[in-house]
Amino acid sequence: MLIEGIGDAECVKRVQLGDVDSFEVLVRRHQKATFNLVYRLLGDYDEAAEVAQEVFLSAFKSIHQFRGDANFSTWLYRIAFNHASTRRKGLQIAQQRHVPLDGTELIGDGDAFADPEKTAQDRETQQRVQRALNSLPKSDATIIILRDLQDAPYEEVAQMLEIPVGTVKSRLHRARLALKELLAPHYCPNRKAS
Amino acid sequence: MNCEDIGLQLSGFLDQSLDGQYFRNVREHLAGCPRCSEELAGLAECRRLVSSLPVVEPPVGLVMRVMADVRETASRPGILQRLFPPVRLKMPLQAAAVVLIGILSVYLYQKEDTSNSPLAPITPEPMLSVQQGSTKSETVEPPAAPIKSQLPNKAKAVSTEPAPAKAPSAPAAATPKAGIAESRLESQAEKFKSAPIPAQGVTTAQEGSSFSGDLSGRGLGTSAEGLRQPGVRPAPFPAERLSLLSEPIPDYELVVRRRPPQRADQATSAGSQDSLQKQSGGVAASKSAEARRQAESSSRGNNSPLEILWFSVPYDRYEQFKKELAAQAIVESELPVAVKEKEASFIADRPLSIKVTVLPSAER
Repeated sequence: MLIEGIGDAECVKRVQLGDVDSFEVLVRRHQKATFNLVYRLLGDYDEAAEVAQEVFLSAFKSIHQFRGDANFSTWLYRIAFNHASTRRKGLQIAQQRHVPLDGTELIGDGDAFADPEKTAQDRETQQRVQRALNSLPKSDATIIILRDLQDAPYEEVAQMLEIPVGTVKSRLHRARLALKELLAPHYCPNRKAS
Repeated sequence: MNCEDIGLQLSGFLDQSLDGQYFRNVREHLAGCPRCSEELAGLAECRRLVSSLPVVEPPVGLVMRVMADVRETASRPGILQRLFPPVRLKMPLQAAAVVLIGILSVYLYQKEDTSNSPLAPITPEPMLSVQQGSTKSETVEPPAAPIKSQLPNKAKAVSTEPAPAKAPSAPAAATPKAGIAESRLESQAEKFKSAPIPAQGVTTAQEGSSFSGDLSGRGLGTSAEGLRQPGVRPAPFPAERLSLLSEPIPDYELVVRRRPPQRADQATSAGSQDSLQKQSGGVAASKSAEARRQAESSSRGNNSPLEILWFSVPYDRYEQFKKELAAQAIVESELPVAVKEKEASFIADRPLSIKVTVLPSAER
């Protein structure tokens, strides 16, 4: 029987004691954020699904090593980041990744009554942003995704990447500048003009 | 602060993560600097674009697949459990098995070697040497001291004769050993005095003779006519093997009869010369000692009771053994007890165990 009301730390303790069902609580609780992080790092839905499954299985296998020094989400995101980085390196998708055009990424926010023209424009914008993210170094892309997409605090990003908070801030600034350079020809001039 | 310093703070200003003084400085600078304001606008637009990316729903069956994998993983032992328990349990078992196999191999090897190998080393000797005088032991070396199966007429089986001068294996310091051999023989004589009388009658295991070809030393060297070769040392035969209850099964059993004294002397002389010719390495005995032994054997050889002699002869030298035996005694029967043609290949690798029953001469 699953207990949804308990915190991550309690679930982790139960899993460490052999309660496999408690791990399902953790999976349901963190699957969306973990999947989105992996998906934004890889840019491929199917690859992201496969890697996300590996991430949770790897987390279960090594959950006895989790000592509670950081949040479970931070520890889990770090595993996801490592798996995604390995897959991304293996597939050499940093410069070649194509964002799927089947509208998969709009599943969560799809609006049946939205303007089709605006919907198409938004989709194109998202694809460009995704390609720009995939063009960035994985550490820079990860910082932007965690900070700007998932609103992760600086401290959590620092723990996940095991770097100081000041380094996170400087890297975030550098990553934003690089992303701006990639997106400026398409959006910034128009916005400036408008 | 110049534009370059402000540029480094723009991202923090955008996230409102700057301290109060820094935040005010940046804000004041942006108010009068269009370039930095444009830079800030670009960063803000990028952040907006990223944050506008939709949250993608994970696959529907992701949780089920993950939990299926998790439950499968939980049901089987972990990699540490798969590795270390075998190390903890199997390694001692494997090591114990190796040690046990080694001990068993050594034990079996030694057991087989004990049953097939000589109990005492024997120096190379002529093919056959026969000595009369069943009570004499020509050599007194403990390894060469034969063990008598029965000594019905022997109260003392200690040689008073000196060891042959040319006996290669007779040590110079044989005197202390002679005492040991004497005590052993006396104790054995005492033992055999109480031994049951064999059913076949009076049998005597002779000592001081050996089939010289017995390199393995398995046989007990005694002869029908007396051992003429000095330095001939029969291999001791285990006493328990000579007991009536555990007498070994020979490969061949020969029954010979002593020749008459005159003929025996001739045969002895001929056989002695023949044997001496075949000797190598100075094993030959002195003629004086040989003549003395022959005299003794002549004086009492024909009156010796029935004797049982054991020989150990290499398989390929059996025929030569028979010839030499026939030269010194009359072979009345030859019975292959345990030898069959089909077993020849098996017994060719070990010396033949030959039992020779020596009957008194016909003139007796």
